[in-house]
Amino acid sequence: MNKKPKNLRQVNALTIIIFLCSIFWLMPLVLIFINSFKPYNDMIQDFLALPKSWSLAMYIETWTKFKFPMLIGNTLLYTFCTVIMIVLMAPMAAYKLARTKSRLSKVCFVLIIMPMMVPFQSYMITLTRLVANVNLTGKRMGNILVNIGLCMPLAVYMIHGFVKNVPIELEECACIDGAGKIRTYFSIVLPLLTPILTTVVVLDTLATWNDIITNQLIVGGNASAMNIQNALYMQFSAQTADWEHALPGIVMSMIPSLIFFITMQKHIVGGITAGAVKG
Amino acid sequence: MKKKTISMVLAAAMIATTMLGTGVIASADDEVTLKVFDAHAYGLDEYAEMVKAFEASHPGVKIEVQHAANDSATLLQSRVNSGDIPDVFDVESGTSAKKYYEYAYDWTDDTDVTSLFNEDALETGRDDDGKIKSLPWTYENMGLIYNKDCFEKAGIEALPTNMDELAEACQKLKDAGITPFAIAAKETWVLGQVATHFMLDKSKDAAGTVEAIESGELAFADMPNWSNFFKFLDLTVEYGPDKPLEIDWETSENMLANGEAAMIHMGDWCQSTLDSFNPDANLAFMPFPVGSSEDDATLLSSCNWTYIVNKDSENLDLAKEYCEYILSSEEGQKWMCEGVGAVPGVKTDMAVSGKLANDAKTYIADGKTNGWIHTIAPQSYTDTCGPYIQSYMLGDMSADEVTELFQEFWTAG
Amino acid sequence: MKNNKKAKELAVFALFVFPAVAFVLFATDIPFVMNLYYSVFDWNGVGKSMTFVGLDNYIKIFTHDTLFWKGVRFTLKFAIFYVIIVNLLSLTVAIVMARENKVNSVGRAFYYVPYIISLTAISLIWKFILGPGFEALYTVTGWDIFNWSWLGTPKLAFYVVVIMAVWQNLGFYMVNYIAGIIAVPTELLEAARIDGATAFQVFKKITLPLIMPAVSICMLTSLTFAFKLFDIIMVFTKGGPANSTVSVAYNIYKEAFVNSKYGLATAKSLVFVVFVLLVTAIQMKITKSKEVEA
Repeated sequence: MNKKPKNLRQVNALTIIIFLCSIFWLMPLVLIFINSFKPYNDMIQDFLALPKSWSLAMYIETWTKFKFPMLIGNTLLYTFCTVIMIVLMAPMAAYKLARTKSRLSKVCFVLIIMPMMVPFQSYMITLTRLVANVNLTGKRMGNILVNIGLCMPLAVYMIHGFVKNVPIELEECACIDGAGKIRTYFSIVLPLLTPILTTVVVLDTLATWNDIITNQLIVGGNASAMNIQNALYMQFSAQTADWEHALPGIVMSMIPSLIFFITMQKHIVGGITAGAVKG
Repeated sequence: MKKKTISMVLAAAMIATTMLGTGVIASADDEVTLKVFDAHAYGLDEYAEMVKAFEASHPGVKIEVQHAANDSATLLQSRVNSGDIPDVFDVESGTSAKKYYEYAYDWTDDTDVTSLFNEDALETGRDDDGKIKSLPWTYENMGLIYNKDCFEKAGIEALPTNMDELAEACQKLKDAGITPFAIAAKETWVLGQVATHFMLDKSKDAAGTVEAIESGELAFADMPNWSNFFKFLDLTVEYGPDKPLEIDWETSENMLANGEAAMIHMGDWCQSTLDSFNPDANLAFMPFPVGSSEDDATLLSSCNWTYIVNKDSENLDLAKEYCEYILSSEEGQKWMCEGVGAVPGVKTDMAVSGKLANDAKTYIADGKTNGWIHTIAPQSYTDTCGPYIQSYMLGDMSADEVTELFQEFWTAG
Repeated sequence: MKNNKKAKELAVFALFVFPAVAFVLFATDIPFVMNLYYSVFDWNGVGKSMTFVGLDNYIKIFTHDTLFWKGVRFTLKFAIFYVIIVNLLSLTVAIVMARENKVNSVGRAFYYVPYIISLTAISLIWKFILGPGFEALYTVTGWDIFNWSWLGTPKLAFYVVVIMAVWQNLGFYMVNYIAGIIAVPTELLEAARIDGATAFQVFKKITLPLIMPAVSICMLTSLTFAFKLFDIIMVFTKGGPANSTVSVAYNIYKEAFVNSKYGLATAKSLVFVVFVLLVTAIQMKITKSKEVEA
């Protein structure tokens, strides 16, 4: 009986430390927020000071100058389509690959996860060539297709690791009941994968939302298909940096993803507890 | 219940993707789109106005500009590779531009256009056979930039003309409580540019100097001013900020504009940044005292950016017209003189807004400037040699080692 | 009859797997393989012509490309530091923050923040933390550690990169570990506690074996992140000071886009990928053998 309170106390002390540390992780948000209200000189001169005024003028200017509604529309479209397609295809592939023990299955698995080890920079030129060959350069469709391909490896790999822990008996039951393979997958397997799918959705949403390089390479020449981060990134060069517009832009671009993460994190936990009840 | 949601989501995805596939390519048939690639992030408002005026005078023409200030070389390279070559684009003149000359329209016979530009500016757009393959943007000048108020405060009356005088000035500045140097030593390109001042052989000018170095005729160890380069680096460390290698271009320019530091090495391209830090800063160029007298001091000036028209463009005539328009029309001159604040390569009487550019103008008029070396140097000069200079500043390499590595790089290719 | 069944199975397999494979082939595998074609050429990455040079590029890599091998050493060292630190830290945070309550969910969101913010903003912030931030701390504490030139000293710049990478990505691994930890049945933990096991024993004997799938995911993703390290170098250190933080991916990028030696760059990427595949294969073998089959 004596030990339990002691354990609890240890954990509580650690909790406090970890919580305090988390403030160090939050700090950038605060700093970016503060500095988004400052003129350029004040920012470089004293980064830690509070702004002289909390005027929203720069926010409004950024909103109109960068055509934010259009950027948000594009970014939402890319993110939505990419994530939907990933959620549709990645678990199917991961599930089947984990359950099939054949040479073909192994080859497919390696093909899918190999890109995780290859630096993107080493093949981006040929990728842009390939995209041009299928006539997708400068088109939103091209951006989405490439995004899906780039997000797929990690998604499949993560789900693959999870599927291995889903008991096979469940599917066998369904099979005996006479359900087809596809029906078994959608009615039995997919619901069990919700927890890991939530993680994948969060990951890929953030990755696509913050994507710069694919957008630059695939739709670079077409200003009407730009996403937020790329449009903001274009304000920097080796010799100039327009932080006065970039920081308000960054704050505004972050709000949706922050809200998204906070709402999703409840589901991560909720979904996992539901999935943990095995059999 | 769950099944229903899933199938609905799937259906939505299918519809969304098919819509995307068909809906994107909906533009009017009679409209001509000119694809333009621009590697600058300044004077953007003026640029937009210029484009608007062009579109207004050319009904049915749409100008699609990609401003790619960051990684512009990479983006252009990938666009050219994917066959999506812009109709008009700009690159750094010299070694980088030559890579693209096989795609470039040859302006040599268009004398009505080329005659609009200054002869020395046109030189930066010539290929190895002397053909004019690209048209110059603005002059950019670089050397030491100093804060006049700081110099006054420290009681320095005459600009230093050699290393000893420079060292004296540094001491005076330090005594007055001002950081003498804030060289952006974090940036390898700045260090690479600094080194070129010490390579220059004024009797040969920039191109001649580069040729002589590459052919091995002029060895680094034999350059009259080369040993001063290391003296200068020693000064920047001794009289620089506490953490010299952490100074990036932004901090460097900020310290100068606010009078915290007295000297930096930069060019007039940083005018707009300096202005946004402190519009009243009292700044001027100081010819780099690389040698023993005033005659040796250098200020390097060149048209660093150059515009290329894609010779295979579907709308070649329109592309030519647009290129000529942005570089020589009144709107274009306004963009360069007021928006960017630099002296255009085209002949003009328009007043230039940049203080530094105006300052440099007097040196140009007196014929006291020379061309840029780092842009016509072997490919990747600043990226390769800059880190060697950092090693010297850190004390990890000796002057002889750095000289040897420079020599090796320049004569290797 | 049997053949028919096999064909049907194959069809189902294709239906499930091929769409995903097709996308990956399109976006990465095919471009990567196409790319290898250039590795036997001397090409500037832009021009219409290229010269066949056989294996010259590969020979160059192994004979006199000191910067590439410096990059390999840096990347390996970074991988070791990063994988160990980020996994230990994120696992600790995950264990503490796993229980569902208000404080924890706020704390978790905090840890995730850097993962959400764009890297350009992050590099700006770090520039100021290491500059004026440390200066202020130095005047308050007088500790020398705040007075070192972190970004201006090759040895220290390495640690800056490590710390920044850990700081930025910790949230990602934390979420993965939490997902694993929560799936551990609470009855098991309770039972062990009642039997008098200490917190550490419970973790070692029950939690850790059950979260091995999460561990192997995190190990592999952190390892591949480390090997592909590029963004932080590109926007923050630019490989400096004095080339001390040049990672392999950055070196390849520079070779292709700045030095205009596209053929050499692709040869380098092949050499490196083969090397990475070997390392990850070994790593996967090790963690897999420790996973408990459910």
